[in-house]
Amino acid sequence: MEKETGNSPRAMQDETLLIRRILDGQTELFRQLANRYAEQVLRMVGRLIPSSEEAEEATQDTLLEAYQSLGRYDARKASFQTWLMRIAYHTALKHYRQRQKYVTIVDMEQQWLDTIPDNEADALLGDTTNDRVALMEKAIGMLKPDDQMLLNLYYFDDRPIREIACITEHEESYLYSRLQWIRKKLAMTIKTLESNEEK
Amino acid sequence: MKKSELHKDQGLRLALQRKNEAAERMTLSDDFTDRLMQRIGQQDKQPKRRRAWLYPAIGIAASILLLFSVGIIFNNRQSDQPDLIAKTDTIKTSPQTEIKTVKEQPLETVDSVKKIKEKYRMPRPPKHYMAKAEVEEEAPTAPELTDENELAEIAVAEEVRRMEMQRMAQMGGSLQAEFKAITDEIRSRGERMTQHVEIAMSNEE
Repeated sequence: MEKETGNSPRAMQDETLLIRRILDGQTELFRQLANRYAEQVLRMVGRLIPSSEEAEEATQDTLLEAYQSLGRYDARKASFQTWLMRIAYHTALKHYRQRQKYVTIVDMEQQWLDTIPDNEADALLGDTTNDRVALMEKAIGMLKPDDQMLLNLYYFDDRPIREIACITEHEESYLYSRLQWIRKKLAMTIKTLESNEEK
Repeated sequence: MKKSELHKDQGLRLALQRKNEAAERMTLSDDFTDRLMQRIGQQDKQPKRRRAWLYPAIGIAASILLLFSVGIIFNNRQSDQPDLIAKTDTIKTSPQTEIKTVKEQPLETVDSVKKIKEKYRMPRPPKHYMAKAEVEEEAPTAPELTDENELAEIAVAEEVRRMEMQRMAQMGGSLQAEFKAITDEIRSRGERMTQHVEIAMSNEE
């Protein structure tokens, strides 16, 4: 299985040509694209879907959807990889919602979140001690799936916000404020979990 | 949050790394791409059913929309022309939204029989009728004509009437004469009846 993924101009040009040939009827060439991006898609959907079988199914669905929508892909707007990640993002959310209907999601009022100062949130989220990181892991699992995905795209993948905006189909300004809100929410959840453990 | 803050939140990054460890270790099965290409092949072979229902549905929706818009235009044309002034001067309220105030009225406790009696009771005759009846009771029923002038007047009146009748008959207005005779007859009967009623009422009292 090929693992090369390329965002270089030449790779993108090759990809565009490949897509054109697929659209012209050489369906079998899609195999090359699938081999190139399947594992990347799997890792992305696997963050929300821990079962490897289900994650693989979601990956299949993503690539099938990509094949069916290939005619709508516009290379001028985004790279094929970003476009594919957008499909993967929505497919992962769809699978997650189908699978976990009764998941515990912490939702807080903005007023309550405002009670935690910015510097306190910074201190909590910057702490790398094992206990804090374990609590943080737990707190991330209690976030909404799209918030978890946003954290991963921003902090884990280090993707630029413009690309995240393309994947999630949100405005950049919204994403910044949403990230800020998620940070506060995480800090508040960590505090709550710590106080519960102390009791 | 600014771009410069991207390198902050190290604890959060560590937590995400730990959380995603399992996902990073995930691998695809060997036949993954073959199965995918098989699905793609099946999809291509299947006829596109989507269009079978899509076009009729669009057609139906479009015709409904067209009918609706034609109806609205027709309605507007009808209502616009005659009462432009009325439309500007009056506020229309729908009967559903209009606030209705109902005054509470006490229930009627009138005896229905009494009411009917009152309704059909004959009114008392006026006083001058009563006086006249009294006079007639005292006086003889057939008045004696003593005055020659009165007799002459009656005779003249009779003669005039007879002449009128003759003239009308001569003019060929036999029908008119007949009609006149009938009306005279009715009038005289009415007068007699009135007299009888007055007498009866005075007797009752």
